[in-house]
Amino acid sequence: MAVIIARTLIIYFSLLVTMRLLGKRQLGEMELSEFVLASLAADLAAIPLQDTGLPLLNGLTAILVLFCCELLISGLTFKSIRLRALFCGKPSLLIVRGRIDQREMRKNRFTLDELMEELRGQGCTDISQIEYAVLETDGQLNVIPFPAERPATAAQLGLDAGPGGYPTIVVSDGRILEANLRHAGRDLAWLDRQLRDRGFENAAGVFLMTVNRAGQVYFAPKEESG
Amino acid sequence: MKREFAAGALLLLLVLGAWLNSRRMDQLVWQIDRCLDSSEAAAEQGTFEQALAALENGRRLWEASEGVTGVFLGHQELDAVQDAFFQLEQLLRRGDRAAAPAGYTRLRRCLEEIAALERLSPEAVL
Repeated sequence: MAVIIARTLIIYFSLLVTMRLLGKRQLGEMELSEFVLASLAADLAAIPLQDTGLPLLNGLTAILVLFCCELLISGLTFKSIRLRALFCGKPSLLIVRGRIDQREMRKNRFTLDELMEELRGQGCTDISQIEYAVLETDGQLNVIPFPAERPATAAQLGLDAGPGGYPTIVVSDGRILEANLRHAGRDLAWLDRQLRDRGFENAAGVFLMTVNRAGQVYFAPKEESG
Repeated sequence: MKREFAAGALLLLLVLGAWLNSRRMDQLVWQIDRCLDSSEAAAEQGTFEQALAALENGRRLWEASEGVTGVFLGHQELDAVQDAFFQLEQLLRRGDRAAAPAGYTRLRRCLEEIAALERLSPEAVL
């Protein structure tokens, strides 16, 4: 058991350092320690499952150690900026005021093709229109155009965008979600009226019904199966 | 920070459990080794009944701990120890004075390997 703990810690921190040195590109949408945990945990769980001769505790101990390490590291990085920079790295500015920072590109092993691909993916084709392109610690590239190139907001145009709000699901596949209904500030009597207005006796025939704070309702009846 | 403290405590608990398990394993192997010592001494003098009785004491100690060792050790290691006990018992029943030392050595090696599996050392870790 002690050997398993020591081996898990060694592998965990070796992977953490290796992945940290490899750069952000490898990560996808996970933080570094999450990526390491995800890479290891699945394999560790599979080994005792495949080999019934091995005690399940071998896999469980290693998974528990990883779980503790991940919680400790995420807690420590939350508290300390220095540790956050050490374990997660810092965001890198690949484009600053329309100019590509080639040193940062090399440092992050980010090729020009990859940069262009990412920019195209975000609807940018002209680098001179980009104020900043930030390679985040989770490997995502965020692009911030110059203010003049940003889409105008309703506020900037002096328009009334009207009330919006997050749509809350109140009926899902024929089931009434009462907690969501309460959260949306509505009750069953309101739902009943809405259903009757649409020619339904009850929620059984409703596939999806949502309501936002402004009271806008989205209604989708169930389709006949077969 | 509650979750982080809980994780730290769990990690410490695991380390403590591992240390206790390693100590328990060392003690078990030491106790069985004492039984094997007296069994071997009896076998050298040709008193095989006495040697068998001492070996049986060692086997009982091993079997009594199987509920716990079975949780930490693989089937292969457990089977190897059982097999070594059985082989040695057969040699003693036959009164095979010449082959008995090899039987004791084999059983001791199996037990030592198991204790080493739980012991924290550079060889075991790396």
